[in-house]
Amino acid sequence: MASRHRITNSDNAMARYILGRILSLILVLFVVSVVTFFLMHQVPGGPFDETKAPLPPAAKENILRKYGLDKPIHIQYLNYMKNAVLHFDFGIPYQQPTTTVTALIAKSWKVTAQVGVMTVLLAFGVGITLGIYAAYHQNSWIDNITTFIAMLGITVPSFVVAMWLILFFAVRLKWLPMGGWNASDSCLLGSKFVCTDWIMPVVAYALGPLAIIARYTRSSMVDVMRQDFTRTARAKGLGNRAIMLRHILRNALIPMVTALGVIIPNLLTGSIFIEAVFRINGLGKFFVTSIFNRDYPMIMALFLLIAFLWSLTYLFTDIIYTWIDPRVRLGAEGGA
Amino acid sequence: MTARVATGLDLAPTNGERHRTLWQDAARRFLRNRLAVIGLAIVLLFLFLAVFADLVAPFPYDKVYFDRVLRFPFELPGHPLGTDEVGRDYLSRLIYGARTSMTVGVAVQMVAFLIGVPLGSLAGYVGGRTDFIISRFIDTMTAFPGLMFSILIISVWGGGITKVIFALSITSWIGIARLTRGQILSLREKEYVEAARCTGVSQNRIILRHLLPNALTPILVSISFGIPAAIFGEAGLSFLGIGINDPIPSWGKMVGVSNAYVRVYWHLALFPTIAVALAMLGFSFVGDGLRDALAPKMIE
Repeated sequence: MASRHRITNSDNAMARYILGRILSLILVLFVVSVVTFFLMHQVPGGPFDETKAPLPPAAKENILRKYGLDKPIHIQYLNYMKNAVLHFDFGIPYQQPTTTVTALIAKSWKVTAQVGVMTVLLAFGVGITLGIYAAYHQNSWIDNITTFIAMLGITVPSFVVAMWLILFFAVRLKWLPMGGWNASDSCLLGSKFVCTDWIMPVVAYALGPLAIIARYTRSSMVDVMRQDFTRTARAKGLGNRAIMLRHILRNALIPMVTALGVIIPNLLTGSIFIEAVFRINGLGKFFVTSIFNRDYPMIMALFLLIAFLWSLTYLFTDIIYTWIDPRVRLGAEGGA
Repeated sequence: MTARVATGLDLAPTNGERHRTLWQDAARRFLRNRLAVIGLAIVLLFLFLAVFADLVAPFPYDKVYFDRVLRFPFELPGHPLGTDEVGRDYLSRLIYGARTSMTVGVAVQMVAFLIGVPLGSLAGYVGGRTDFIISRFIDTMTAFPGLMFSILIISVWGGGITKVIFALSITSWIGIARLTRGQILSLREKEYVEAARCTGVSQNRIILRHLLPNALTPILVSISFGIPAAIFGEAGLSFLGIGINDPIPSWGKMVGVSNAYVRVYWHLALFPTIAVALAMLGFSFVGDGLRDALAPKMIE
């Protein structure tokens, strides 16, 4: 009831651990931002260097002043970070000077997120199911197929799988559209809920993580199935279903958190390739066009965003891991 | 000469059995693994193509025939895999593409080895403040999204094979450095190292003759997995159009270009994707095989 929460030793250790991780995250982000910033500014050829029709010096000076490019570089960095952190203002993209970087990102992140969420759902749904099935029917044909898919998904790059899907399902069979996302002619009844142009990008994108998940699930299921508590559960006469759900799966899924920590960051960068193959106008596509246009503010912002999400996922998976699995609880040696 | 390590499977030669070294044992186990042998065959084939591309390829990779643009496989005699969008022989470009892929894959891992192993050994052996600084540096570098960072570097410094190798190397040594550090940390407490130290063996000699040979196995496995990763990196960068510059052929670039022609000219997409997939599978099989052959305890 109203009993005071006692701060235990392990709570303390946990808090210290999280704090340490957050501090190191901030340090990492600082280093990442400094490195990217100086890298971007050391490029030969600025965005306003013109070779064919040089601007009058006064006009050029004005432009440079407008974008703050006339100041010394460390001042430019401080200004940039101040605006970015305090006002979420990453400047004005050179390719579309009428909007802001934040607005452009806000416009295109939804598509990328949609692709990502669907990919995660497919990868986890199918991956875990296949893994469980393969663990229960070791060396059956399903197990062999799962191993084969896992091998293919882990080694073959997503853009190669994507091209194969296109060649087979779009070029050869003409069943699915070549690319696009939410294109009205590929969506049922013009709705945006079921579209055929989702299928290939999501499948190509999901195959890698699906493979990793299936492999993880299978090996950790097999591991747990050999444990004493599983034998005890079986000995006391529990049904297969109860054993599976309450004893095996629950324990087998713990390592999945680590898998998540590997998969989510890779998804962030993987989107670049999938969006390029299927001509999807998301963040990944933006990143590539920004590189071709030497659009520093855009590249900076996207890279920082990804680095931020990247380190955040690492932090979260580590915390969740220590939290759900008492065996790795910090500070408490032995019994927890 | 080779450092001998107890492998678990390696029973004492009692009944006059011939003495076998760790590497002979490993080679036997490797050759008994079917997938590993297939992988090795693929890898050797690609390495052969890479080295002897000039002799094997029927045409130079940059020879343009304006009257033979976008021909299908077997449409013209002499172009069994057709021609590309500017009239170059596709088979020849694929063969020279192997040279690009293999060069990048091997070079990146060589850099990774040359940076990662010394740094990792230093951190693991010296410990203390050196270890702290190197470990924090490694941690910070881990937080860099690897491929994204390569893309960023290329976007700043431009493409080309040396720059691609450089961009991919920047993050490739981290895994090896961390691995070496861990290995050295655990090995340096072993009795035989202590014994060596007691007898007055110098620090350099301990690291070079006692620690590194025993730490080599996992490093070797890590390198064999690093090569396909680097090949993927090059293919990925070139696929996006920022890696290898024309006219040097790269499988990734060929896939990227083919995307615009895939509706009709399917061969442009099919062959380089198969080449990339085969190379990656081959190296991965070899990596799996090496891991199982060199560390039989890890199988259980």
